[in-house]
Amino acid sequence: MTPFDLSVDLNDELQRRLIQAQTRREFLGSCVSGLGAMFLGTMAQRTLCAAPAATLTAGTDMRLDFARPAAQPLAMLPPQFAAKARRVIFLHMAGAPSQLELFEHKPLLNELDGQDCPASFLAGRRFAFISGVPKLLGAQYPFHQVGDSGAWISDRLPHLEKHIDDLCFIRSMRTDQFNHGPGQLLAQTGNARLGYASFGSWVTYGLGTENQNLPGFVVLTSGGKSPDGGKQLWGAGFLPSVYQGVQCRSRGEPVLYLRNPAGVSRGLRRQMLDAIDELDQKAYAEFGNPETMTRIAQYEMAYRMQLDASDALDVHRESPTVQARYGVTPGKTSFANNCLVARRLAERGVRFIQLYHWGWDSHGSQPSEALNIGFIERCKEVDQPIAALLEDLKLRGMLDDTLVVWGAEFGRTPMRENRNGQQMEYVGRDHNPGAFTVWMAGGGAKAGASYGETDDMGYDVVKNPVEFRDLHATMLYLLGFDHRQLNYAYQGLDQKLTGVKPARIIGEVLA
Amino acid sequence: MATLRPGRLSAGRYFLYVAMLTVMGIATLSLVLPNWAHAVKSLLGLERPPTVAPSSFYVQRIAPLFEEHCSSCHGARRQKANLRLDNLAYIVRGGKHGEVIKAGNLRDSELFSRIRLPASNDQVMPPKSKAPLSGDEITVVRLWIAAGASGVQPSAAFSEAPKAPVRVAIPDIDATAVTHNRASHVNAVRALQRRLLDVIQYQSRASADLEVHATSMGRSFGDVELALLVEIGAHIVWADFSDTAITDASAGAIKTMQRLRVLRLANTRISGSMVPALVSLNQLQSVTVVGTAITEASLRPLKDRHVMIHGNDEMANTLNARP
Amino acid sequence: MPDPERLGAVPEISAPVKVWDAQIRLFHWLVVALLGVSFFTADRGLMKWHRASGLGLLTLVIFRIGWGFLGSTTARFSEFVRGPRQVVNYFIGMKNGHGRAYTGHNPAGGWMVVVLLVALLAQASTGLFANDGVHFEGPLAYLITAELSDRVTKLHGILFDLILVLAWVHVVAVLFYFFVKGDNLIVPMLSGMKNRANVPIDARVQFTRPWVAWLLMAGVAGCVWWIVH
Repeated sequence: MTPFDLSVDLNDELQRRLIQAQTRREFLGSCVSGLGAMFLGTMAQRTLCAAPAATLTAGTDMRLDFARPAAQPLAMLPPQFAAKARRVIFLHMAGAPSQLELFEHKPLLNELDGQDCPASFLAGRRFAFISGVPKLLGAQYPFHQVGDSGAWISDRLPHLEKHIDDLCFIRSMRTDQFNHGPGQLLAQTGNARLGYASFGSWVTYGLGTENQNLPGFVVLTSGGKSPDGGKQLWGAGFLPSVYQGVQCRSRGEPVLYLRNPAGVSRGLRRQMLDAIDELDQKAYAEFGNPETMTRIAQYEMAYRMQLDASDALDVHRESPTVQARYGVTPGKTSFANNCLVARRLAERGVRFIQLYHWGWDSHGSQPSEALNIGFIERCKEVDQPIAALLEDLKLRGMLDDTLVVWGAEFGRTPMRENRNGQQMEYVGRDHNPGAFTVWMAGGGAKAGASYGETDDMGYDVVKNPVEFRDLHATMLYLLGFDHRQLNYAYQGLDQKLTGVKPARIIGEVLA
Repeated sequence: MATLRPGRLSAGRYFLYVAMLTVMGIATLSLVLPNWAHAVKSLLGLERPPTVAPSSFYVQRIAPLFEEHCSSCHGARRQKANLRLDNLAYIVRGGKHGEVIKAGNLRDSELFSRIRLPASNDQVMPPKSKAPLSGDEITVVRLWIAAGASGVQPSAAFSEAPKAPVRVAIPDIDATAVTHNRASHVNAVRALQRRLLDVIQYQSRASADLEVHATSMGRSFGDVELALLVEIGAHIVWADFSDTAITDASAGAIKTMQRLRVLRLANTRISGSMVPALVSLNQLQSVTVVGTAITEASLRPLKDRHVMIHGNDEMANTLNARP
Repeated sequence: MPDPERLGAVPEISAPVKVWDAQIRLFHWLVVALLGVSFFTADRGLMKWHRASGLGLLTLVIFRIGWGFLGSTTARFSEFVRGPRQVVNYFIGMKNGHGRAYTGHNPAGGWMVVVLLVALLAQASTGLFANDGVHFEGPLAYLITAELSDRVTKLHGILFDLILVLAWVHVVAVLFYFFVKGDNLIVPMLSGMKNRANVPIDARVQFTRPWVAWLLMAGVAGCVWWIVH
């Protein structure tokens, strides 16, 4: 049909286009839910009002109900059982710091420093860069025991050291991923492949958020680069996209494109949003796509955030004393600034705060990646702010119900990296998925505890291995959920963060 | 045997022989096939179940381990290879290929050799699709079999056994009980939830107790709003009023929240006049007064009751009040 | 092949008479062999072989049922499945020592054949839906739920015990004829020939042509192949 064909009835044409617009997926979706929707429609008012107070659906097989009013996808829901942790601050050290320079004291490795790596270490293992026979590498920094728990720690973290008895170490973490991207995805979404919902998304889906003027799930990055896993690390995957993490900045405009453009007043903005909402509501009535409601909710949240986010994300509203305790660098993006922001967000009821600090990939191929140069800087960048964050949370009593997790996608080898079989100029270690350390603090984690053991070289787990799915199950337990029951039906499966393999809640690390 | 010549045997005699042969056959098969033996033995009342003591290593360590790893296939519901591992009597009996454990003899204990096979082996148990036993779990089984696979030997006798993993129980939700317990205040809660969005919430889906998250409302939450909570005050066990606009005028309202265990009042304009209300809260476990005019010294009575007080006087002025 | 007309016309006391065709005999001994193989392979967990032998049994049993309609006189159900009155009379006659002779199966043996065939058919068919719990599933197990398959597997086990009992009864009966009645039934099942003394004087056995058997066998095997693939 040509544009000049005037014989077409415009109404017919409109109908035709509308039918075309109704995609197969939405059509099928509405077919499947059609009858149910008719029934629910009659009950909608009651059910939806009751939902925030929510209970569970009846029946022998207990299923948790996460239904909310369509316009309030982030409304609070109670946890399955009384939770120890009400929110999470996840400090992800992107690049994987060496546990052997921080928390894993291995005297035998120090004794064998410089010797050839035993063949048994190399058989059947894949490395990112190590080739031939590498040399064993002892700890680059001295260790000492601190606190009532007598935990070993190197001299790189003098501030964190003061909180050692608040920490709960898992020394026997292991993963099946030895590259950063998939490793980070596994750590944050429970699956090394793209398309799965991140931990923060699951938590905001399960619990909603306390503060409707801020996102329920905030992501802050520092260290000069974004994590290798990309934005999928805080993606919602198959969950409605309203649960995805919102990346904020502690410098400049806190959320990009949040501010009104020049010449647009808040009133005008409101009018604009009302008009868009009206159109969206029509589209929703027509097609019933939940993503339309997500869009409306996000516009509205952005509008509310214009007032609150700038305040929450502005570290300069803290007193100079506080800024100094964190080691804030005014006007810059830094891990210290992000830690202070994290505390401000936690205070305001943000459910899940994820901090990525890039630069821990200490291969030794260049100064910034050397254990004896760049690593020192990284330690300095995180040590003081983490200590200040723990201190502040404790001060307000918030550490009791804020779960702080420090970790990375994997660990590093006890062998010195020898790229192409050559001794390298700087000291570094290769990726080691076989063993690494994660610690938790607060939120019901057992303070001063240590779980799991690695061998004398810190190369492999010899006792109580912990996979990410076990860590996730444990974290969800602290947040008040049985990981098997925090479900979302997708592609014929009750999807869950911990996947299909059985995961263990590590009872040993619970307070 | 002359009588065995074809056609010369009387029918009676033939069937007598058949009966004898049948009995002998069953007897022989019973020796060869363990299941037959047990069927015959239990039929004759010859089999007595092994004694099991509640304090035994078997009950405390082995039974839960088998329950977790084995009983989905070798249990009450399914008995693959005719083997059940959910009861010591069945464990001792074995499966269709005979005994699976030989007391004190690890080498001939099929069960032990199967759980120790490498993951790549077809015969490994639990099968490849299931989680393998951990090193500690294998050690526990090894120690038990080596010590005689007994149902009475106490746990204390196994000093070298690795510590038992801590099992975390997920509490059940009793929907009727929840509805019943919430009945007294469910309507009041619903009304307040509409009035104060995302401030009041049940502590969990299994609970009728309430939590108050007023801090997210910031300065728009004040004495007027807090006064609304009096109606449900007796059900509030956890409350965060930090950074809100409440003042000492709320002392009376807070006093109604007698079941409060955690109370946060950081950065609020409360002062010494609030202290008696706080002291009156008998179940309090933790209180935050940092950033307020309340001194730690004035909370002495709470401290004496071992209530956790978050209110470092020196640090107080370093915390900013929210604008 | 001896001319049946001639045999009927000129009774020779000592000359053997052919009563079982090759198909019946082959069927009988193959079933014995495959039952053994099936038991052994199941016991040892050689499930690949168990599957093959089970499918073989299934093919044989279906073939035998078809042969019961198309086959030689002694193979036909119409010839040896008799009413209860006749069976009772047969037993009474045998007890009183004046039982008559039968060319093929006697009334009791005829029912034995039916029962055994039904049991074998049930056994082979349940096997299609069974599983061994871990490594193996019957070729049609995917069609039903795992739970149902587990229950079918249990039935498969019970049926085996039943077949064992039936086989024992069968052997006891055959030996009864041998030791008590002096009638050797084993040799004829091997050679196909019966002693004329044990065959009714007016015996007429019509033998179906072998190509019918081949066609039937090919058809049945094809069907089984199609079902499991």
